Formats: sequence, structure tokens, C-alpha cells
Amino acid sequence: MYFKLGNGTAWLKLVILSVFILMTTNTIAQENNQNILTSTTTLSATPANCVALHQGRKCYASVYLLWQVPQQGDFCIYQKVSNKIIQCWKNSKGSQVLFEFESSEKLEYQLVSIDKNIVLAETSVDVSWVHKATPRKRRWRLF
Amino acid sequence: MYKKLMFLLMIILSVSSSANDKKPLNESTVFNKTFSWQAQAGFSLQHSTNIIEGIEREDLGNYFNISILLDFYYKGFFIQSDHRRADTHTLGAELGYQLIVEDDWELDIINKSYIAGFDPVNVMEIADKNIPILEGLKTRDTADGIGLRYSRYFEESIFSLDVAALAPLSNVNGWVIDAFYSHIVPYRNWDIYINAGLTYYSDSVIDYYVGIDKNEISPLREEFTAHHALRTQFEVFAQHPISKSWIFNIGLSQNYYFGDIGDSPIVDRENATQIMMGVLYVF
Repeated sequence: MYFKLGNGTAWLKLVILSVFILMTTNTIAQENNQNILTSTTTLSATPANCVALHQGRKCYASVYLLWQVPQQGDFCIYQKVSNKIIQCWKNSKGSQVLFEFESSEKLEYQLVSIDKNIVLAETSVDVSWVHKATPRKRRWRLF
Repeated sequence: MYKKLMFLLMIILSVSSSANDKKPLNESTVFNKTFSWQAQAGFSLQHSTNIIEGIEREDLGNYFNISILLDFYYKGFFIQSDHRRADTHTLGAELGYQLIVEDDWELDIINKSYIAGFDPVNVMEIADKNIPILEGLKTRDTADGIGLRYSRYFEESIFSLDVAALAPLSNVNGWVIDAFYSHIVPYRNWDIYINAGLTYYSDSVIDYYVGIDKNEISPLREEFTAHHALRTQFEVFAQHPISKSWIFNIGLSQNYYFGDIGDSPIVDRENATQIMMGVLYVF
């Protein structure tokens, strides 16, 4: 009985240890996976700045969004806030898209993994201007 | 004539001053800002033709233009260089004072150059050759005028009407009525200005520039008395930002003169073209 009990405790300890090791290993592997995924994931906008003549005016630019991830999957680039889809890709680990930027203020873009439903990277296109905003009638004067 | 005009100016000034006293903080946003300024440096290539014979730019150096454009505003007083017109570099800035400022119209006292003069000696030096028709001709000064400008503002356009006397500030006698309309067409990052102007010059103004008096008679130049003239102007001017400090601009201006101006021995043609392309640095 003692033996049996002893044997039983040894087995129980072994099972608990195994489960712990497996859980730990799996968590570390997942964290590593996540780190690898996000640390080597890139999303960039070119040009990253759009210049308008006057503050408040809508700025227009043809912008390239370039992205890269270490593992193939399904991804989409969204415009943040409005959640407008710029483009989606299936079984891809990198690509680029040219789109027409139209805004009077800075807009942000997110690269989202559709499989995991997580945001992997962000970038933005700033809007700047040559002349500060002036009242309507003073537009005809410079300042 | 000039006394009457000056008297009229004084009356309007007095009326306006008392009106402003009653309403010191005019509702207009213009009066709310006491001081503002802006400076720009312009570099441009220009090609222009002139109605006066021999005034042509033939060397590359004469095409290149560098200019500093300053704008100031202080309590109704202003200096402004109209950056949206092709002839800004030749006529310079305008000096003025806002008499009445309402939401959609304005009345200013304005001092500006209405006609660029010419010195025949300089013209020949620049051309690096003798131009017989200009030899012995007296210098024509710039026509600086003082007058009133009525401006009417619309959503995307402006109309202005200047009535100015030239005599008090320059050697040119006479007066000018200058109407100008400008419409802005925004296209993507471009500002495109479509401008049209109609200018009336009195007899003595035109005679000063293209008339030939007794002292200027030569075998090539008969005595000539010119009369009033009308100028029409069509212009397209466009600006596009390059960066936060640089602007690209391009303009084309075409002028036609009507009257007996073409009968003057020193007038080569009755139309003048100006093409410019350059950059502006905004400080």
C-alpha cells in the first residue's frame, strides 16, 4: 500500500511536472512567436507627409503603404478611426499598395492579422501646410 | 481735377474715421489682429514682351529674377505684394489703409505703381545695342498713383476697382481706373487663379508714355500726341506646394491695348505677354 501510494505520488508528481513544463514551454513558444511576429513586422508610408498650401485645406497625395511580416497569413490594412479597408491580402508575408490620400489632417493606418485579429503595426501620413489658416476674405492677402 | 479728387479723399477719410470711432472694434477679423507680417523670397524665370520697341529680354541673365516680397499689416495699414499675379515682380508692393471693412466688401486708400516706366539708355545697355528709335528719348518714370480701392469678396473670387490719381506721387499726370477680377479654382494641391482686368488710362497718362513731344522729334520719330487707352488683361496663375517652406508658381499674362497707342512711333505692338515660372521661399 505504501509502495502503491508511493508509486502513485511519484506518478502524480511526474504528471504535474510534465503539464507545468509543457505549459511553460508552450507559453514561451507563443511569446517568442508573438515577439518574432511583431518585432520583424513593418508598415511604412511613403511619402509620410502631405503638404497643402493652406491650413485646413484637404491635402492630396499618392501614398505607398509597404508592409512585411515574417510568416505568411491573411492581412489587411485599415485606416484607423474610420476602419476603412485600404486593401487585404491572403497567404502573403508582404506587399505594397498605392492609394490616394485625401485629408486635411493626419491619418493613421494599421496592419491587422485577420487570422489572429491583432494589430501588428501602425503608420501614419501627416498633413502640414505652407500658410496658416486665415479668415476667408484675408485669403486674398497673404497673411 | 486732382484737387477735387484729393478733397473727395479727405471727405471719405473723415467720414470713415468717425465711423470707425463709433465702431472701434469692427466686426471684421482684419481689425482684430493688430500686427502681422510675412516675408518671402522669390526666384523666377520670366519672359516678357513689351509694347515699346526694343524692350525685350534677350540674355539669360535678364530672364532670371530674384525678389524679396514683404507683407505687413498694422491696425488697418498694410503693405502687400500680390503673390498671385504674374506682374508682381515688375510693379512691386502696394501700400494702403483700410477705410471700411465689412464682411463682403472693403474700401481702402491705396498707393501702388500702375505702369512700369523705362529709361531708354538702360534699355539699350541691357540690349547691348543701339536702338535708333529710342535714342534721345526722355526717361518715362513709373506711374505711382494714390486712390481708392473698392474690393468685393465672393466665396471663391474677388472683384476690385481702383480709381487713382497719378500726379501727386509721380511725374505722370492723369488718372487710372483699374478693374480686376480673380477667381480661384482649387484642384488637388494646386491653387489656380483665373484673372481678368480692364484698365482705363486717361489722355495724359498714355501721352506721357508713348507720346513724342517737340524735344524728342528725330528723323525716325515724328511728333505724336496720344490719347486715352484701354487695356484688357487675361491671366492664369497657379501655385503648388513643394514643402512646408517652398511653393512652385507659374503664370501667364496677356495684355491687349485699345486706342491710338499703336500709332506712336515707339510702339511696336499693341499686346504684351508675360510668362513666369519660379519658386517662393516662405519665411
